[in-house]
Amino acid sequence: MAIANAFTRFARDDRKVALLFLLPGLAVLVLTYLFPLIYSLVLSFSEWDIRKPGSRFEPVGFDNYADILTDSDFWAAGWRSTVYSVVSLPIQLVLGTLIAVLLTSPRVNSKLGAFTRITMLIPLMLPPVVLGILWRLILNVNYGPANHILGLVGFGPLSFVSSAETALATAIFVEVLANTSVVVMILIGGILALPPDPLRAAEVDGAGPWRILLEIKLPQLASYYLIIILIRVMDLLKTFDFIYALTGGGPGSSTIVFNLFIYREGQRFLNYPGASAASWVFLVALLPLSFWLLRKAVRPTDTYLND
Amino acid sequence: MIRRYSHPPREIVARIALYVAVLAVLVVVLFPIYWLVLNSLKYQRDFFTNPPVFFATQLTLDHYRGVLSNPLNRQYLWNTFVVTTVATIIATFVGTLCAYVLARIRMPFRLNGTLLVAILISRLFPPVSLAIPYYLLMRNFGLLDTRLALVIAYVGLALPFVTWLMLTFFQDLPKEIERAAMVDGCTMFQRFRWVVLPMSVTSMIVSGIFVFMGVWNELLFALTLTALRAKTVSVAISSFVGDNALDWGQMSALSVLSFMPILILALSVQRFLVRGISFGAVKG
Repeated sequence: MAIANAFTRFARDDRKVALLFLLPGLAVLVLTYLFPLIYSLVLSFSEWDIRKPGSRFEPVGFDNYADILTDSDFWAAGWRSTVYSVVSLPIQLVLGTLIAVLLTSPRVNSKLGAFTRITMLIPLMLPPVVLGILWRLILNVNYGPANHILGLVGFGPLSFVSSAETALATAIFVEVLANTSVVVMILIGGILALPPDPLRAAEVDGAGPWRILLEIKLPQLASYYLIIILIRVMDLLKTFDFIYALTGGGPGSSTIVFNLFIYREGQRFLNYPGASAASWVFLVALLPLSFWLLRKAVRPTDTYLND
Repeated sequence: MIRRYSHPPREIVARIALYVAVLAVLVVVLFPIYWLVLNSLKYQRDFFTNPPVFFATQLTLDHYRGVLSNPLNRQYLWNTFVVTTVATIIATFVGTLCAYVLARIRMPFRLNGTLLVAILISRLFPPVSLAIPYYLLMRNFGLLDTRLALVIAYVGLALPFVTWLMLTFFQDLPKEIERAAMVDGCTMFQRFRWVVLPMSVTSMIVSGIFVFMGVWNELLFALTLTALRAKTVSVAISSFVGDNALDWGQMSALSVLSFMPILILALSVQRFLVRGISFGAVKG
């Protein structure tokens, strides 16, 4: 009887039940984020060799950080990630805007527009590994269709991912082809949600389609662009699987972007303290961006049921 | 809109240009897929030719037979399916519970805001910074190369996304019905189970499908945490690059097999896809 009463009292207290609801989520956060991150932070300040049985973490202060920050491969990888992101993003924005405007144009058959829109989801759904493999086949120097088609229009064969000079540019090219769809999808949503009145007013006033686009549509889409840029920048900087499948980081080290560098430092060279230090440098560098994103994206609840 | 009854030549040219542009977009998007499917069906003799074979007159299912007759590949597909399904179900339920509380109940010590920020920061984390400690911790606990290790990692990867998506859903859901249920003496559990849950099914399915797609495609954690027994299809496909670089047929066939379930899912929820995409989906 007492147990039943205690249970009823518990069930009547919203905050206590709420805590129960939160418990599994809290457990996941602690288990998969908090604990591993603390572990890697400690490791980044320690000396430890996985190959020596019984080796313990020996604190070494900032040694690992000093090693990483003076490693030219670290800076080269950071530079590649920066180039990869800074070049891809503007191209995707411009191309994505043009395609979104094209597919929502009243001059294009609306069924064809809708079909193209759905088709453009395919590259987003394609597993990044498959995407990498696929383009490896297409861009194969000797047997791929890309060079054959280039040959037909009179361009010499390109080396694509088989030479260190062109590999990163090729990765950017494929990235643009594959992920411009993100921009298109979000923008079409925005364009279709635009209030029709200002557009009609401008049309009546005799504004041409380009002026309407640049002076009325695009300014109203600013918040959509903000979301796109934030999502894209985070994902571009995190790129791993697709480059891993496309080039594996090569030829040489020409496409080792930052995350590939950390992965190799750990899983190939077994330098786990160094890899942890590098990933903490990366995290701290991303921190301002993350906070900015949070402030833009988070809308805390204003009123609660139990107020 | 002003109706134009005749098409001046300029208008016709503009229209042709627009349709050519749409066609170009379609070709660029569809050709790679066509090439992949074609490669999975080509005879071996049609691979290493110059010029490449664009339209094969004879096709074969040999590569699919080859892939599926290998018990290892069947195991990889099964692993991927089990891990993805379990992780998706857990992440969707746990995330929904969290989101519901964050949207409805003011917790003491400003827990709502703190938790929300914690969850969102986790979404922004580069997974590689977690892959390294995951590998070492799973090694310590003897969980390397088990499906359990992958499930744990993937629930963590997906939870922030589910919470974020469901939170915006609950925030947009009117509170009046729940208020009425409160007045009638329903406890929070009863309100959640009988009032909120039936209204949330669609949103939960949508976020579940996004999680499913993201986890199914994930490579980094699978690469780090598995070796053989728990290996997933992504890892198997990526290892074609090194070991069997010339077996393009089987590589393509396995790729098509791994893409099929995702494509079917995606087309079934394409209405909701934009919403998920603007939350950044579940990206490894």
